[in-house]
Amino acid sequence: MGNQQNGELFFPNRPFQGYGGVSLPHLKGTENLPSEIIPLPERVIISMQQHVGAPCEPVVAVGDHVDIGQLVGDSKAFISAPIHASVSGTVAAIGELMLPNGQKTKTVVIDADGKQTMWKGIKPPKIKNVKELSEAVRASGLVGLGGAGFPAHVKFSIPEGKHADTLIINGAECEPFLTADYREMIEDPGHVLRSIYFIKKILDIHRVIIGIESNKPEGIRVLSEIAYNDERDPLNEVRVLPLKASYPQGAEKVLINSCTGRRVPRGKLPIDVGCIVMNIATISFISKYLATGVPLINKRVTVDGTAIVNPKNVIAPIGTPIADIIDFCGGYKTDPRKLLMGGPMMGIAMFDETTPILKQNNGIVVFAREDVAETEPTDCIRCGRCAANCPMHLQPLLIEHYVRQGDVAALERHSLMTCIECGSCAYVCPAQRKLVQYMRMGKTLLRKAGEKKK
Amino acid sequence: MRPEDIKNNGRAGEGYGADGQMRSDYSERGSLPEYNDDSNEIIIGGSDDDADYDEYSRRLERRAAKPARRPKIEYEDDGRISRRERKRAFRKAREQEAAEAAAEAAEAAAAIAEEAADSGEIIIGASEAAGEEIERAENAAEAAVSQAADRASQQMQHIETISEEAAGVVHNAASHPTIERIEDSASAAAEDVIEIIEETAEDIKDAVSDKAGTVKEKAKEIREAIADKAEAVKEKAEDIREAIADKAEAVKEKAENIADAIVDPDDDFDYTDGSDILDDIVDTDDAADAVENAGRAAESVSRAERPRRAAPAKRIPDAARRVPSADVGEEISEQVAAIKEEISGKAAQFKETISETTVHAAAAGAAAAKAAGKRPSRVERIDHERDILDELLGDDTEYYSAPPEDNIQTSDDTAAAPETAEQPAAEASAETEDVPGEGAAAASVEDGPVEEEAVEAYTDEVPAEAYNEEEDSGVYADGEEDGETFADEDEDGEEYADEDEDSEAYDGEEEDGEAYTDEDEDGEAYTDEEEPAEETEEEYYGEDEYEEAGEPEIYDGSDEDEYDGSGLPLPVVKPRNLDAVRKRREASGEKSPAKVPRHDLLVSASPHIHCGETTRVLMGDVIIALIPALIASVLWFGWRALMITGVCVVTSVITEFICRRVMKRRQTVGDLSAVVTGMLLAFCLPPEINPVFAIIGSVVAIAVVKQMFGGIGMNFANPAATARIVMMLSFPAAMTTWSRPFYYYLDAISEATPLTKLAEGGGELPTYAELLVGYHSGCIGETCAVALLLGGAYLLLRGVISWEIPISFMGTVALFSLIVGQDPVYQLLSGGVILGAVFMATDYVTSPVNSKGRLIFGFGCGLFTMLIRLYGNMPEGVSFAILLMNILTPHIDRLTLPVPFGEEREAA
Repeated sequence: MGNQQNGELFFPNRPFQGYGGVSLPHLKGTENLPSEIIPLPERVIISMQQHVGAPCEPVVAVGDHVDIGQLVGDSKAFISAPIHASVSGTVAAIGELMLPNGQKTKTVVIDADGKQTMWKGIKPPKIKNVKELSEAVRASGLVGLGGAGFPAHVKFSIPEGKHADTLIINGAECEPFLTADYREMIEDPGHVLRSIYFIKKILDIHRVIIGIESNKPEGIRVLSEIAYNDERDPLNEVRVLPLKASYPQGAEKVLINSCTGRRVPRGKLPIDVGCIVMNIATISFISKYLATGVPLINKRVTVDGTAIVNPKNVIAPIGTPIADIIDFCGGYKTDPRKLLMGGPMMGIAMFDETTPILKQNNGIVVFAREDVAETEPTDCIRCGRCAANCPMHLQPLLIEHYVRQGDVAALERHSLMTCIECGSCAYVCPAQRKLVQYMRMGKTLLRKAGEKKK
Repeated sequence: MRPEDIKNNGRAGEGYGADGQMRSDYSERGSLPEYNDDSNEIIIGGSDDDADYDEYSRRLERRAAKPARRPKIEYEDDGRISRRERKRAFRKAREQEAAEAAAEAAEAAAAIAEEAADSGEIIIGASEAAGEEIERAENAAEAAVSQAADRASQQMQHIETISEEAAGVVHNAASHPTIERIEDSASAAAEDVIEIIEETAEDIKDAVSDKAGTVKEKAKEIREAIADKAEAVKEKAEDIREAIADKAEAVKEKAENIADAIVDPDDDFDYTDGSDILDDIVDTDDAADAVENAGRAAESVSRAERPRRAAPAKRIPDAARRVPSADVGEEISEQVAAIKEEISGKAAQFKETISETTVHAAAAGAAAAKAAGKRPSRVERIDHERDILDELLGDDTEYYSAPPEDNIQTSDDTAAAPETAEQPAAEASAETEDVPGEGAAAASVEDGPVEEEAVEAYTDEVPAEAYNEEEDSGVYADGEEDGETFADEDEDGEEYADEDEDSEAYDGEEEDGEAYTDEDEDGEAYTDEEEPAEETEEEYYGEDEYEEAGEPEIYDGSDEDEYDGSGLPLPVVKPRNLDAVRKRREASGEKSPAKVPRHDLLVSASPHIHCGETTRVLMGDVIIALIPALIASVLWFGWRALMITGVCVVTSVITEFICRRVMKRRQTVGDLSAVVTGMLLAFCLPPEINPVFAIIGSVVAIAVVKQMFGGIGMNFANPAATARIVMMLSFPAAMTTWSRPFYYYLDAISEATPLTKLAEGGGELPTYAELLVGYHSGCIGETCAVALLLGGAYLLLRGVISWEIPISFMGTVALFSLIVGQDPVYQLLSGGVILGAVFMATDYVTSPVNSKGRLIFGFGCGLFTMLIRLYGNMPEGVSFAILLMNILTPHIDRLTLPVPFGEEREAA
């Protein structure tokens, strides 16, 4: 656990040492390209599952006219986030969609009318306390935009008896290719910082650490300039911490460790170690929402990869089919072989291009056929690189062994559930074993075993 | 913006509708809840501090005032009375005076309409005169640049045609009754206008002739002259338009107010601010007032004249700066084209304004005439009053109201206030007359929100002091705001367009203003006015505009002001004419983007990239690292060393191949691990060994030790070390016959190894230097410490091996030697310690996985090596030590399991 948990809070001068991590090629070719807004797509497909937690139920019917920002899906569950129309138009269908992860979900398909009229009910929220903040953030449909899609309001609903003393802003963006967060901090630093000051005040937090990988000197400079402005922040409680450019620096647990030296125990949340972690795009959106009341309807995604003609950062309405976005980026240079939603390390490979953009998407990476090595894994040579590079200090080689054996007890003993599926192990494995796949299989085994016990 | 990108991606024509629609959505109310960038307070509604909040509200108001250019409400007559007082006064006055005032006002309205008509005529005359002046200017310019002059004269012709049209329109309006004194004042105003236009023309002429001179000297100055001239033309058109608009405004507002005053004397709704308008009308002697207003309109035209004339001079340097001197010729033509566009835009505005003015005058007159008899329903009226109040009080609860289109759609068809303005005059007046009284009254009420605001705008815009005292200051209306406006004007063309928008707002067309400006962007859009009103919207998203505006919008700014000045800090996807897109796609036979042909996409688990280091690469690195030692062995022991190594390698590979075949397993020869095993085995054999023994050893290493346990990764013991032990036990004599280095070219001379000499005594021990370079008897690859260490360094640098095992192995050997009184250098450099520590003990498969385990493993190897060397019955113990520790490896692994992240668990 953290070494200053009971002591006075302090700002580290350098990040705390963690476990493992790999150094990846950055490949951030789009980092200097300003974001472009996509032309209105003809049709958006709005999934009812765009977050971790309970899926939403559609609240509109086929044939209804919806305006931008109008609620189209909601759920009563706490861990869930409402979903809004991202274009104005007519509900063409309420169908079913298979998400890239194989899960099936309801969707609301909206045929855009091209007028882009705003919903009349949009108005900026008035927030005076944490509860209102949490409610407003829920109403905005905000989820963690870094990739996980954890409903953001849950982070502000601090349970009884727990206290957050540190707000960590995740600007690491450690995935290769992706620059959406970087563009956010370059293009909207004012919003990032305004949100921070606001949340800091509302939640009474006196330590805000903006963690940015050292490979983004411009981002560090821009945010530092504002963060170290004495007028806004006389006590200097908001600071930028340059982090080692090491994957997976942006993973929540890794980031908390790097910034505070605290380690989130298995199965616990950041709030259990007094931290709230928000992605830079998430925090920036909060400011925009408070100012305008327009819910989460657009998303900035990086479109890159060896098969894309014009890689760029695109701001697109949520639900825009990926095909439209790729079209906007000039289409394919060559035959695409792998289409990833997200970065190359944790992104999900997709089976077709009609899949819509989800809230938590931050990148589309397409690899050409010649860049996709389809190699068979060879035998494990016990080199231990997977273990050495595991940020969670696990033993992937042993876990794989036990997964193959179906040894649930051993998996439990080796803390499989701590695995964040960052892919570092598989990235370095000289035998090219599908370790992450085994980790996921093992987790499924454990879940099933847990259900049986009950 | 990067136009080249758009060209590249081949979609230049698609989808980024010209701006305007979204902006009109958001900026309509003009008061978005922004907060101050420069402030350190968080003021997003969450401030506990009322004082802060008040301060914030004030700031908001100030900011809100700017983008919308909403003038403050000031009244000439009653100064600052509280609302309640006004309301009370109004109520008393209203009952007594409403009827009377209505009658008077109706008269006044008619008179004003006439005045507008007359002054319109005069202005048109003036504009024609101006046209001539400008034509003269054109000729002068033609002498300098024929191209520029051509285009400008086209514009002038264009203005003339517009003037003619206007004359026709005015003729329609002229059928209304007249009051002589208004005529007088109007003619006076018109005289002013004429004077001004003459002055303008003079200026233009001078400027053009001057510039024509300079043009001959330098192309850069030619461009300036053109810019200047175009500016002047534009100004003139603008001024004429403004003069007419102002007059129309005056007429319109009067008529409106009168209508409102008449409509519902018994209404007890709170008019607070609306009452001021009525007060204004009632208190003023209307006829006199109308004259005054006409005078003001004329004067405001003259006020407008002066600052605008100064503007082009400031703009020229900017234009010059924009164009690199190298491309002057091209730039000139570009400039001319731009000027042409601007002028045509202005002409469109001008025409529109004239027609609109006439319509308003006619409609207002008709409404006033009808108003005395008919009233709108009270509910309607209250709704509209409320709207007005919201507007005036800056109610900040509705930041996002429906776009103006919606208002139009929901309102009654006969009313359709803003659309009326876009219809021809005759049609409009016919409509208002045809509709029964109820409908006409409704029309006037529908106009209400707009027109009443117009009154406010007008009275504020031309306060008495403003144009009495500030004759020369060049300030045209509200000093502060317009100072800014003119400053903006200097910056660039875009800003100039903004300024146009502002003047629209002053004309009281705040709601219409947006659509109006949008149409200006497209030179051809004004033709749409002739279309039926319902189609206007569609035309607005018309194909042409869509094609031209097909430039992606780049979202680049933390500053909210950059989002079209709408104050919306979110990038928004622009409206787009999707029908056109769909049609075009159908026409070209393309499929919907959502139904693209499927690509052959591979689905696999993440991660989708790999570091590129495979087993083969690692084994290749080990082979590279062994090569220095191989070279040294050839040097010391001759080609025989190479031959033995080759035999071992070939046998190993063949054995591996055959084993995999027999076992029907995936072939693993390609991973080079058999090569490494063969080399390592050869390296720990004596150079003089019988190659047959070497073959046997290789087969044992691969077939028995490695493949029988499942091949690479599955063997529990190091194949090379184990095979060597097998050979030592099987062929003890051959395995312990060592040759002296360098004697291979004579007869081989056998010699005991240094370790044997140490263990058994006797013989001459080699020096440290000889040990380092390997000049002593021993196995093929183990004598040259330097070469082995070089290889080890390479492996460490490449990250193939980690430091733990070699360091702890050799460290233990050295430490143990010191403790028991042996020479540590001798113990390290002789025998197989370095080969074993660097190459054999670090074998991935048979050593622990984790750092701590590797340290223990290295320590064990060192310990057992020394124990065997010193206390065993063999001179050398490295391979036994490694084998022993190989066997212990699983246990070491289990005992040294690392604690997972976030857990405080004892290793178990």
